[in-house]
This record gives sequence, C-alpha cells and structure tokens, in this order.
Amino acid sequence: MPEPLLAVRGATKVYGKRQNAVTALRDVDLTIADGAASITTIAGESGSGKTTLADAILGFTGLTSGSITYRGRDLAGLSRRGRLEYRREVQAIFQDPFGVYNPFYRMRHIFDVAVRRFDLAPDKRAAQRLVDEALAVVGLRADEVLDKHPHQLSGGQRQRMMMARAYLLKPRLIVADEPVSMVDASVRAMILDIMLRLRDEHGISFLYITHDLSTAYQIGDDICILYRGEIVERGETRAVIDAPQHEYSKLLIGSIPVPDPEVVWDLDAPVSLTGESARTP
Amino acid sequence: MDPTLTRIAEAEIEAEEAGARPASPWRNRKLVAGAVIVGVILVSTFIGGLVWDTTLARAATSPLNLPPFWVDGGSMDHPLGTENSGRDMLALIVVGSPTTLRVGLIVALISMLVGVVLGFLAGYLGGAVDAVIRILSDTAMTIPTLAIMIVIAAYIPEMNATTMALIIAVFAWAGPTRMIRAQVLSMREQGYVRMARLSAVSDTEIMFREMLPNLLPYLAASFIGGMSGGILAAVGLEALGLGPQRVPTLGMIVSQAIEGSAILRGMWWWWGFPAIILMVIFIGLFLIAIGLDEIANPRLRGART
Repeated sequence: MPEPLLAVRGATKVYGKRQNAVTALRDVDLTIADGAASITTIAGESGSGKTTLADAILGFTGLTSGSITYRGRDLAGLSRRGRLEYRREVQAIFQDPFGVYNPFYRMRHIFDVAVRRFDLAPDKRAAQRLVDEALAVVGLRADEVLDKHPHQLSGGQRQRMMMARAYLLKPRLIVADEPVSMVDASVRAMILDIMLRLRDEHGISFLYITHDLSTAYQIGDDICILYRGEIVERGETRAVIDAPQHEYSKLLIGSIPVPDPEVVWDLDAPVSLTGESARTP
Repeated sequence: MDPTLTRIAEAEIEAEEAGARPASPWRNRKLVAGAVIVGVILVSTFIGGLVWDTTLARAATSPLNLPPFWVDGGSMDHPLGTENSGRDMLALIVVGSPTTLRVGLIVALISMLVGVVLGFLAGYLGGAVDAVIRILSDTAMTIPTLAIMIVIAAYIPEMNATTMALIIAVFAWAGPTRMIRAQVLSMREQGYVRMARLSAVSDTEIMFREMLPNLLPYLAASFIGGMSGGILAAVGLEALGLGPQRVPTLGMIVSQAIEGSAILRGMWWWWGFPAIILMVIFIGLFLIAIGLDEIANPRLRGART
C-alpha cells in the first residue's frame, strides 16, 4: 500500500480538565491518499469537532493522543526545515475573509510575506510574476487589488485572494475550513469552481470542512460525517448522501432544504437523535 | 468581524469612490488642542532660554523677594519677580519646565519599552512566561510606590533629574505591561495571526510586525498617560524635598516655596507660576491622551468630535 499523503490516526482532543473536560475529537482516523488529487469533505454540525480537526492538521493545536503523519513523518517530530516544508505543502483557507488580513497593511503584504518566508523567488520581478499568475488563477488582476487595503475589497475578492495566496505556494493539500459560509451565493459558486479547477488542473487536494452538505454533494469525492467528535459514517459522497446509514447522517441529510415549492418544510420534524428519524429525501 | 465595522468600511469605500477623502481620524480636536498646548510650553521655554539670561536661575544673582513687574515694587528686570534666595522666577521656569517634561519623557519611554516587551511575551507566549510576568507586575502594582520611592530617593546622595526619572520608572512599567498583555491576548486569536503562522512567520515577527502596528494608537495614548503619571510622581517627590537640588524643576520650585513659607508671606508668585505651568502641561497631556484614546477606540468618539 503506498504511503498516504496525510494520515490522522486515533486523534483525540480533550479541552479542560476533570469535570470540565470536553472531548472535541474522539479517536478520529482519516487518510488522504497520495496520487490523484481529491476533495475530502468533513461534514458535521457546529461543535462536532470539525475546526479542532483542521487546527490539529494545521499544527495550531496539539492532540491529547493520536498522531498525524504527513507522507509518513509525524508532525510532532518535524525538524525546523521539515516544518517549513510542511507549511508550504499544507495550506489553508479560512471561513472569515475579513479577519485574515492585517488591517495595517495593504493586500500585497500576505503575498510578500509568503514569498519571503518560503523563498519562492530570486528577485522582485520573479515574485511579481508568481503573484500575477496566482491572481489570474482566481480571476483577479494584480493592479486592481494588490495596493488596496483589506477593507476596500469585497468579501468575495478577499476570499479569492486567500485562494490565490494558497495557490502561490503550490501546496499538495489545502485545508478549507468553511470557505463559503460567509460569502454570498454567486461568490460561493466561484469559490467552489476555483476549488475544482485547482484539484483538476493543478493537482491540489482539499480537505473541505463544512456544515453544508449540498456543496459537498456538488464537489466532494469522499465524505466523513463527524458527530460529537467521532466519525460516524464515511464513504463516497454521493453514496453516503443518497443512502445514509447512521441515524445522525440521516438527520443531517434530512435537514437539507429542498428547492421545491411543492415540498412543505416540516417544522415538526424531530431535531434530536432520540426521536424518530427525520424526513429522508 | 463586527458587522458594524464592515458597514463603516463600506461607507469609507463609497466616500472614496465619490472622490471625497475620508476625514483623517488623527485630526481629532482634543488631540490637536493638547498638542498645541504642550507645543507652546516647549517652544516658549526654548525661546525663553535664548532671550532670557538663564544664569539668573542660580541663587544670589538677583535682589531678594521682588514681586512681579505689575505689582508695586516689581521691576521689568525681573518680570515674574524673584524668590527669597535671589533667583529670578522667569529664569527658573524657563530652565525648570523642560527638565520636568524630560523626566516625564524618560519615565514614559522606559515604562512603555518594558511594557511592550513583557506584555507581548506574556500575552503571546502564555504559559509559564505569562504566569511569571503577571505575578511580577501584579506585585509591582500593589507596592505603595510613593513610600518606596521616598526610601530609595533618601538613599541617593546626588539626585539629578535622570536618576529621579529612573527611580520612578522602576515602578511605572507594571500598568503598561498589563494593558498590553490584555490587548495581545485578544489580538492573537485574530485571523491574520493564524495567517502569518501559516506563512511560517517567526513568533518575534508576528508580535512586532503583525500585531504591534495595530496597537500603535493605543501605545501612543498610554505613552502620554505614562508621561503625565511620571511628571506627577516627580512633582510629588520634589514637593517632599527629595528631588534634585541643583537643577531647577517645577516641583522643586514649589517645594522651596513651601519651605520658604511663601504662602504665609503672601509671595503667591513663588508657587503660583510653577503651579500654573504644571497645570497647563497636565491639561495638554490629558487632552492628547484622550484624543489618542478616541482614535484607538472609535466607539469612544462622540456623535461628532
């Protein structure tokens, strides 16, 4: 069996101590195969541990137990150089397209920092070429956006700049933590489209973290349903969404609104797992 | 991000598109008024030093106990009068005011420098570093500062303005440290800090190149606050007679006026002029501080400042 790109094994994260302990992740296993790029969806409600999982993979938070290995090397034991390499190959897009820009600097700051830290270009002209190319991938023009301050751009432009920055580093994997939940519908379509293009044309895999199963259905290859810190169901996205097995998956999938005026939204449907399963599509 | 901020940002974009530059927040009336007041004091003492003979600030260079020129017995040779050891009041004020301001400046510089370094380390690194720094600063804040300063000042044989400023600074860093730590704690959860970490930016660089610039108005306000606090502490020490004895400062003039029973003898000009200058300096610094505070916290800005 070939070495997977990313392997999470037995990941458990407990916040707090003793009585106040909250288990955010419980024995989570996840592998993203090397080779053909894919989009793996992690779906679940708020508080299910999605973001904790993303933070652990990005190295922002440590695990209580379990391990995360990237190409067979444990993240916890990476050398300084190894960490820099990992940072370059595993990038992220966040939910909030406002807070990720330092309001003190112009937009070009995030590109300048990335170019400098990862030593991407020998000189300024080469760096500018790389940035221009990355912006072109997301459909932006350098002279329109780079010298603006963050508050002068729209949410969609900012989110696309995030993707351009991630692309600039030519990563192998992008952790996309709810990238479309704070932008409007047209921008959502654009962002999802960019994700598909990065996967198909540039071989970048995604770990797509969302609570929105309809977008997962559109673009996802594999899906893991996370419930109270545990993966309760996993498989090929369409197979899982069309025929969910676990009670919680059924509930989650049942709560997708149907865009059909004939279907009446069932307000009396049970919202907890203890009751009867909610509507199935 | 706060949706109201987004709305403000959008309004600013619209204003810029309409061709109107948004009014700079730095053109705050209180800030400008305070800066003008402090500036006038600095410039006039500087000019005073050029046109007036400052050697008259030494003892026995002028007649004793002359009132200001507009009172009977006063003369234009000593327009603000003289005190009881033959020093000219105008010369004393011209030499004393900048010294007093300098003491404040040194105290503010040192306490802010220490505050920035310790506050950032505590807030950003957290853990044991935070615990140690927090205990130290809490301890420093609970010590009755004036009492300790009196003890230290009494042990120093030759006190000059700089030494006094250093003594005050020993106790002045705790406030800024705690304030900056609290700011850093909330800032380090910001998206741009995570972004910088994703770009493998070092901790030092995150602290001082990503976070620090966003704190600048805050730091400026607290710098000015530290300056007036430093001057206040210095005047307190001087009024108790523990200040520098050779170089005149505003507090020292007041202290000697008290020793010379100026109030009983009706020599109001002896303590009155330095007190007025001190008041004006405090009002000026206070206006600058609240002006800067309004820039740092737009919520404090009234309907229209």
